[in-house]
Amino acid sequence: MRGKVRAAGLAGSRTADYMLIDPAFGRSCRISGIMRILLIEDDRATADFMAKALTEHGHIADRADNGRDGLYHASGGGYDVIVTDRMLPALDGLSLVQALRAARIATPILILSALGKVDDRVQGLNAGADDYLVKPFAASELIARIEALNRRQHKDAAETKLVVGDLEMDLLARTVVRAGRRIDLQPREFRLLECLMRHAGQVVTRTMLLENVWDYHFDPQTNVIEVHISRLRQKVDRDFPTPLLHTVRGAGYMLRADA
Amino acid sequence: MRRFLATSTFRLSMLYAALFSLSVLALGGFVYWAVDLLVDRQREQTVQAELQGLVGEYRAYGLPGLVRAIESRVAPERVGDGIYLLVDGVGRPMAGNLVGWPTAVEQRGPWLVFPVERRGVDRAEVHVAYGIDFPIAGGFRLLVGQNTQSTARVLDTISDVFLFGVLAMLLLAIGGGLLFSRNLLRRIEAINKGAERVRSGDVAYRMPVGSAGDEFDRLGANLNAMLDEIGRLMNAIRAVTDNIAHDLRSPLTRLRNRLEELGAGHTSSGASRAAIEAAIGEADQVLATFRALLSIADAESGAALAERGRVDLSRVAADAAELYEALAEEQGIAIERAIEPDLFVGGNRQLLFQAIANLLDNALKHGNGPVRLSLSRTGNEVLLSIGDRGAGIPEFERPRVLERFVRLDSSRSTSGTGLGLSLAAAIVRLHGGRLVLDDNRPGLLVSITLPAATGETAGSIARRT
Repeated sequence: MRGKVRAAGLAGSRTADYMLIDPAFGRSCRISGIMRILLIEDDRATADFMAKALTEHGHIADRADNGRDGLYHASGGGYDVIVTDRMLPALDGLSLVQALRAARIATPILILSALGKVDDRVQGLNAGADDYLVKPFAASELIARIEALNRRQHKDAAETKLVVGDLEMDLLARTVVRAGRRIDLQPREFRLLECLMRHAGQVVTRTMLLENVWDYHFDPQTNVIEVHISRLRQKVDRDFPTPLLHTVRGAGYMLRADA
Repeated sequence: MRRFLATSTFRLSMLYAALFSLSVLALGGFVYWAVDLLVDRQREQTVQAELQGLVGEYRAYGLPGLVRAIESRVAPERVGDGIYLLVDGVGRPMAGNLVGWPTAVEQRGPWLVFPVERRGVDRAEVHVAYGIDFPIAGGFRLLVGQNTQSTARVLDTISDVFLFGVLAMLLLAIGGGLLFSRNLLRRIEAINKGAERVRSGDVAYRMPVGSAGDEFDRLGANLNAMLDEIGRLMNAIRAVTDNIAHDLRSPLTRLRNRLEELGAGHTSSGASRAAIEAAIGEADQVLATFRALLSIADAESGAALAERGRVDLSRVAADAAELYEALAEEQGIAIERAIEPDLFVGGNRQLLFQAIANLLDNALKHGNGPVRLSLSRTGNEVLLSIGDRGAGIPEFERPRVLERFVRLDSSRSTSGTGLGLSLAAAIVRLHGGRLVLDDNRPGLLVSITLPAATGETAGSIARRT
């Protein structure tokens, strides 16, 4: 129990600690929005599917089919996000993550697993992974999560203001202004909008919103998120000519400034 | 005590004791009657013989001889029940142990029944005596009889013996019956308790089976065999559904991804795009069902939670209420909260949230009045209840709705996997609690009882659970 607590504490403080010494930091292609992603997956079909989906979204995917090769490539750096299966030949996913974190490599890691049990998820996150996705998963969910991880990695830690089009959010004063008009938001609505603004231009899935805004990982029976989004939409979009908050059918939501 | 009295063993032993008492009483009555008859006859014979003797004396020696004979029979050193009296023509006693001619209370043939008073040292007793009135020539009359006192005493003793015997037997029967029924009850109770335990979810429990091999041991062994069989069948069914859910997830996800690719393609027209989106929605629904099914299987697998943290249930309940409040408002339903702060339970925060969310979801789906979410503590248990004002669930259907895929006919048309309640129940069981469905008059009241977290399970909650 105690060991896990320590691990959890480490995972929590890691982002800040490793940021500055990440060898991959300067070499990634974040400016163009193209990511280099390392896929460590022994199942060929899954690896093919992920590579195809990522390539279609304009990213570059490298592949390793066992844990040892994966660790070797990952240690070399240069990746924006690492996606690793949990059960791998030669070296399992959890050990791989722990080895990378021990070597102070802070590249965001998404663990994939067929094991969907709650405890497994906790173990994966405690080992030092940043996100956990249960197989099988939708391509849109994978892309959304990878993009979110990349964004989280590169966001300015001292960010105090988020801007999307004419929408501005002051994180210190906790105010939201659109086109010079102040928008009053409930605390939860503020967090919801903040999450969408931090991932502006990206699809944010419903599960991601539940995890990030409500801090719960669970399967709602009905689309409770939809109601919260439509309320937010009322406040953010109703009185303005161009909508910012879009629903991406079958995937999630996106805050986007372009017309 | 009442439980013992209500057992069939006790009733049986009481019935047996009653029958036995009746037969003993009948026997006693018969003995009494027979002895009475015998004593009567003997008395008659004795009196007749005495009379013959005295008459013989009279015939041989005349009146003086009779008087002598009587006097020798009533001499103080002679003990016995004999009564003698000879009176002259005017009724004056001439010899005997009576002071005067008695007044008969009853006359049976030659027999007179009359009271006699026997004077003891300090008291006098009135006894009943039988005698024969025998007239002698010259107006003299001879009375020969017997005091029935000593035979009456014998009969009294007989009836006392039987009555006390029956009383003692009844007491013994009650005591023995209690003892037997307690012993029997204990063994039956063990089986009853076992059955209750199994019914309340401890499916691995088995009846205690002793080595005596008596009917209880055989009953226990048979029940255990039955439980094993039920368990095997249940596991088989569960395994089938779980395997189907598990094995179909991958192809379904692939199908969904293909649909998504199709929908994203620029070639598709508006109409086909809508069709594709609808198909994606259907696939998502099936996948959600499979996920719920596997979550239930996971929660029911019996494996205790590896990560058992201290969960602020007050906070989780408030969060769930907050999440669903928007949905409720849209339906014009209020969620009334009565949440006591700082109530902690041990377990998994995500799963508990899932359980509460499912119940709220259900309440909003089926209820049409305010939904009440309350959380309180009683003793060392935390009680969470969610009550709606909908149609409720008829009592006989309540156990059934906790089973997988059970949806009442009235709710067939509404969306949902039909697994929400089952999953909530499985999660509560996993946390060592109980989920009970009740009548909210009107509506459904779901009550969850969870053991309260005791003391500070210091820092055992992983930060990100």
